[in-house]
Amino acid sequence: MLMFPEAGIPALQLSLRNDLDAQAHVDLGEALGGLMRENILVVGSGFSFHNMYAFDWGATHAPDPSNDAFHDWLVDVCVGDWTHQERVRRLVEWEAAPEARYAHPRAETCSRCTCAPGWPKGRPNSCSTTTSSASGRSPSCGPEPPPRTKEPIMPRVSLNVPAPDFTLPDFTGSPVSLSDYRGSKNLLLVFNRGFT
Amino acid sequence: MAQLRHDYSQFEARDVVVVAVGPEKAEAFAKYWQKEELPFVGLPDPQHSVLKLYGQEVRLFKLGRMPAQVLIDKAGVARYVHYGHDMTDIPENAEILALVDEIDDSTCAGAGSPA
Repeated sequence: MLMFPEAGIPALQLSLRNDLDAQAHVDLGEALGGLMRENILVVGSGFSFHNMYAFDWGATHAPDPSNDAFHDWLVDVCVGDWTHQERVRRLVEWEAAPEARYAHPRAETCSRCTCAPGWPKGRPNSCSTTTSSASGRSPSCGPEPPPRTKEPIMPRVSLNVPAPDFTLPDFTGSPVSLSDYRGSKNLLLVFNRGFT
Repeated sequence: MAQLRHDYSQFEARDVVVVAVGPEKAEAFAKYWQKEELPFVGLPDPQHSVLKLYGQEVRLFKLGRMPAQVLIDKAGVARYVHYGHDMTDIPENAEILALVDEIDDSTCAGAGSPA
């Protein structure tokens, strides 16, 4: 909503698999990877730390070496100089990472992370980390974005220029054109959201 | 739609034709028009051709289509566009009627376009 406040871009939310199979999520990430070449943004979001009992709710910023250990491991897996194969292997075996089960008592909170690095084959060129007040941290990584196309996804109507003409049959089958009304009527064109 | 029908005589008095475009099929239009006794032109657009041409916002899968209204004057020029941000974001009739009055005034004051 902050990036696209007009919400003119369709968004599709994906769920994790029930079985939380890490390899399957890596495969899913790879399958989605092609979308980025079509100028579609793929976002995988989550915390590197999801131990609700150990959250620093009071925002005391007390050091937590265990949290750091897993976080550092995750960042390294995401952007470290690993082969794709090795990166995937490490992600699939994330439970063997330092403090993995302290950072993620439940597997589903980490499974989101396993999806993301499937997108780029090769090392992502960036990794950004944000820190929340409750000391959960979230690395997000991505490859170089594809060049932006200039063409807007949805054309919009410009004001004070002729409205684009069209012809459509009405629901009784008679053709209706915008130009039919030119010179005689004002037109209120209503795009409806559906009949309820 | 009910809101527009309520003040339709005022739209008519200002030479405004209401044309409703939607992604539904002709049968759905016919049924709804009959049920609600709508005096509008109804254009089924299952191919979304006009919807896309005019850029109605689409929120796939969740909320359906946001409402949008375009006011086109007698010269075929778009004078007002409103893209709704949610289902209830529809301009008041009075607002649109006032705009039509303004357009008529400016058209008369201008090059004397045909009425």
